Amino acid sequence: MPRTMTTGLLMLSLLCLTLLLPETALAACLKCHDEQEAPLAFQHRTQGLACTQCHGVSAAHEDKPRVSPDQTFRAGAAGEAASAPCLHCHQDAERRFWPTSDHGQADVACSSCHAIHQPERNDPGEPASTKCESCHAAEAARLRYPVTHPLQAGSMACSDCHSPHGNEGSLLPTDKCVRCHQDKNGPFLFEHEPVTEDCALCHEPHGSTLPALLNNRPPFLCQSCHMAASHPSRMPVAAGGGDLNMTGKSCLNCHQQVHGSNHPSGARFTR
Amino acid sequence: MKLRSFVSLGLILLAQQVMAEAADDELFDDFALDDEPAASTPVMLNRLSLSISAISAANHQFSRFSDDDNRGMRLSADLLLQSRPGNISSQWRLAGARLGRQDQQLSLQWQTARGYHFDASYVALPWHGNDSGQSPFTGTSVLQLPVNWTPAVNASGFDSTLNRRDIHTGSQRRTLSLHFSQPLGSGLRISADGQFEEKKGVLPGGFAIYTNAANPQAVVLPLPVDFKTTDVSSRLDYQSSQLTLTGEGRYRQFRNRHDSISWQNPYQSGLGTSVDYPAGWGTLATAPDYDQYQWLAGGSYRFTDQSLLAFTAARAETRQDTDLLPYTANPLLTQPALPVADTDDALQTDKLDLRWLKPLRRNLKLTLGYRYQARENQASVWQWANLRGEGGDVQAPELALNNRPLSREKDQYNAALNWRGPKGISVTLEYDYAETYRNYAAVTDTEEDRWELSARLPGGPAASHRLSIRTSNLAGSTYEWSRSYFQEISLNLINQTPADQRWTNHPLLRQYHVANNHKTAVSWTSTWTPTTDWSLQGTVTSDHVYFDKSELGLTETRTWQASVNAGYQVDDSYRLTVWADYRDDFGSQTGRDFNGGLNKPANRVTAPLPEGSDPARNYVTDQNHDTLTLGFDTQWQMSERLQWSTSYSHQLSDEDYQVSQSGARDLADVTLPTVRYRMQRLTNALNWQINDRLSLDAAHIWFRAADNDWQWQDSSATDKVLQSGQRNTNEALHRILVNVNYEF
Repeated sequence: MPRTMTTGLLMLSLLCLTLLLPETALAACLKCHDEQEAPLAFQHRTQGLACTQCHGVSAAHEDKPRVSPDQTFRAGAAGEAASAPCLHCHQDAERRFWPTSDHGQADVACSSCHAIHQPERNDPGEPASTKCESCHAAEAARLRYPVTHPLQAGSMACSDCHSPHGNEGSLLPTDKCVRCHQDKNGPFLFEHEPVTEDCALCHEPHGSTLPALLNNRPPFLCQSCHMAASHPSRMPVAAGGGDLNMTGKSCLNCHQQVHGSNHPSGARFTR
Repeated sequence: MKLRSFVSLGLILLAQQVMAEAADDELFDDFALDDEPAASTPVMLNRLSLSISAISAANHQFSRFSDDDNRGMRLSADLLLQSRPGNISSQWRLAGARLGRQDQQLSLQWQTARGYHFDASYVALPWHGNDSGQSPFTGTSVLQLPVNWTPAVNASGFDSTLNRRDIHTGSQRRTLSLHFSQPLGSGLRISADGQFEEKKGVLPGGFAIYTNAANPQAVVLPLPVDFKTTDVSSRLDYQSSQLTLTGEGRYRQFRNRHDSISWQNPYQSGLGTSVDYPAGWGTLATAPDYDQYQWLAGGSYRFTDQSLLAFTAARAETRQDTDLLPYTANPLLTQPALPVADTDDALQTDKLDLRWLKPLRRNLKLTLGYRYQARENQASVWQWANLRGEGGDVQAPELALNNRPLSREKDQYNAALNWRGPKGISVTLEYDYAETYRNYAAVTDTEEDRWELSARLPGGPAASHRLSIRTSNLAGSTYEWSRSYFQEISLNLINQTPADQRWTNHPLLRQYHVANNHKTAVSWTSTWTPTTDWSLQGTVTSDHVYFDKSELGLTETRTWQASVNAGYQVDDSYRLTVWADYRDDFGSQTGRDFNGGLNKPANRVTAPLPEGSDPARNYVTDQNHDTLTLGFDTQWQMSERLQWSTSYSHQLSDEDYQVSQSGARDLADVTLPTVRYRMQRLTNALNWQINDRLSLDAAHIWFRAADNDWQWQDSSATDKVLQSGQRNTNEALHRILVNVNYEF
């Protein structure tokens, strides 16, 4: 046989093998695992990802299905090993800090929060807040308080304020809040120190029984820093003559501009 | 020879394929299956739901973020359309929720195999506050009294029934978001985002005209909210096997439709005809317009699989040059000239975050981190005339005030050692040191040390435990009386005040977030799944902060919280979950009370000390706030096509305040009335899968919420504040919802 024909047959064989092998690999999995019941998430399908790229070659599993694949992602799987296949591709800016993050250090696996096979949703499985609640019970309990952010309403997610992958990005403590509460950003002519430092000094962002997510009620909240001098400050039921002005909005009956004032007469945050 | 080799190779490959197919039967022997798996029914990816709901009563607590605040019926639709998973060239998804309601959402996602990605979403978010308040004022940003208004000395003298209109406390936020990204090849990806948001509504605000605290003339008014915010950003990412780099630019524009809010003084209580009703007017400045530019750069380099260096750096510059309002909008008062027409200076914030992860030994890793945060307000300092509360002409020059452009710099160093032991044990020991400098603060420098030990401990095949212990110590520099308050006022006034009367900056005074303190926090979580039927999780946390050098202000806080969640699969058709959470917050703070009525002259000397420095005037407030939440969820698969679920939650919260004299013997101890909040919700729902495509949901919710906050009970009878008469929450309602769902 001429040399060109030999080479051509070899090339053809290799080509067939190249085309058949991933399909063969996929076909081997699909003999038992119905693709319709566990479609890959949105982006993964368009990338043409094969099962073995995450689960490993799994030759033993193919021979005896009772043997687990090389890589599984069941609950309780060691985080580092279970996350390795994901991090092989997902090395972008969002996951840059993952190994040094609190979740990474605590051995949380990607599959603890992200579900890649979801028949109902064809996206990579943006984790709902319920996923966070399964570990962060204390914060989850506060989400049930009367005054909260709209997480339970489905209009916000924990990841709108927190970075589960560890990348806090450009955010200062107050920056997270002013992304939505833009009017509190200022800068104001007269600034209130704790407002420029950290909103959580006065507010409990997960949930409160007090209006505006305060962590204490006025006047006591204000009196944790401010002397009650030259001022109505005694509660109306206190002996010695209380002050009715402490009812209603309390200190904010007059000091409305507690987040800062841009008025020339606003040094006391009344303007 | 060569030809025979290739033919042999081909026959071998063919034989392998045939043998592989023949081995299929053996695969299923292990599962004792007689046949291959039956062909499954195709998954229904698309869905249309039509909903009708009815609610029995107007409310604000139940419908806080929804469209159910008014009694009546509503129609809406949910929609989900998406491409088939088999189409790998592109995928798209269109979803709409609660279409036709004030809380509707709509999103579109589209992605191609080449990596083009486009997202668009629209979210409408209502917020409902307490709607029971009323006001006699009319207008939006200029609030005027009715022509037949009768003034009075005190709020109790007003006609409470006159011309009142409802204050519809609440807001509506509408946000349109767009995202586009595409790969550029060679590991590069570009993306762009845009977000356009509008927020409108009304909030109750307090407005006061006064000359000193003894004679406030205040009103609670509807404060209009009308904001527009535009955010745009563009980003370039590079990613290779070892290196990632990011560069991003962001711009934000915030515009407030209302520069100011003006209101007419309803009082006639002797401040003078220029200030009293009907001539007296006050003006408040609203949030200023601003523009913000932000730059961000980040990257990481992976030396090995276990070792990496990562950084993020960012700078934001915010400018607002809104024209300043005059000292007063009242033309009858003296109008001094402003020192400057607008501030037009930048607020600059910087952040740098560096982290280095290095393996020391097998299963032992070290992380070192450095974080720098800075806030610099570049505004100048000017002297502002003291036109106190628009209650009269401008005060004497020595009472002028300075603005304080606050700046802060923080250096934070962090080291963490992480060990992975056998059987899934993970232990991390972390140390953090932060040093912060603040200008214009009575305490300029603070240092904080923090240690944290956290561990994940497996408890056998069915259990795991997580423990965290954290302790920190904040130390502040000497409390400097010359800073903070006295930097606000003119040098003349400082010089006029005797040193022994500069009590407001006594070294033992408050300052809360910069005060010396010790913090200890402990947290324990256990999860146990003894069988596939049972799941249990319990969490206990404790937090204690002791302000060891604070005599006044907050001196101590203690919090502890316990949560438990238990789930039990009774049988194949029935599951029950119960949960409970209890939280207790305690705080103690010291105040100093003065003689002299409402206008307490702290500088007045009651021998041997000015009152402001006299510990014999102290009182202590102990606050206790505990909240108990209980609930259960059940799901009962009644038949193959019928499912019933019931859930119930009950929350009870109590706030107690005890005021005790601690030196001020003329004060009597007093226990303030307990503020109790109770909220219950009972939901019963039925899901009927009529056939493979059609299903019906029906749900009934009973909701009850009530509180007895004494600060709002009879709040219309306050002394110098014309309140809105807002009542405490007291809601009881039923909501019925029926959905018809069609999948295709």
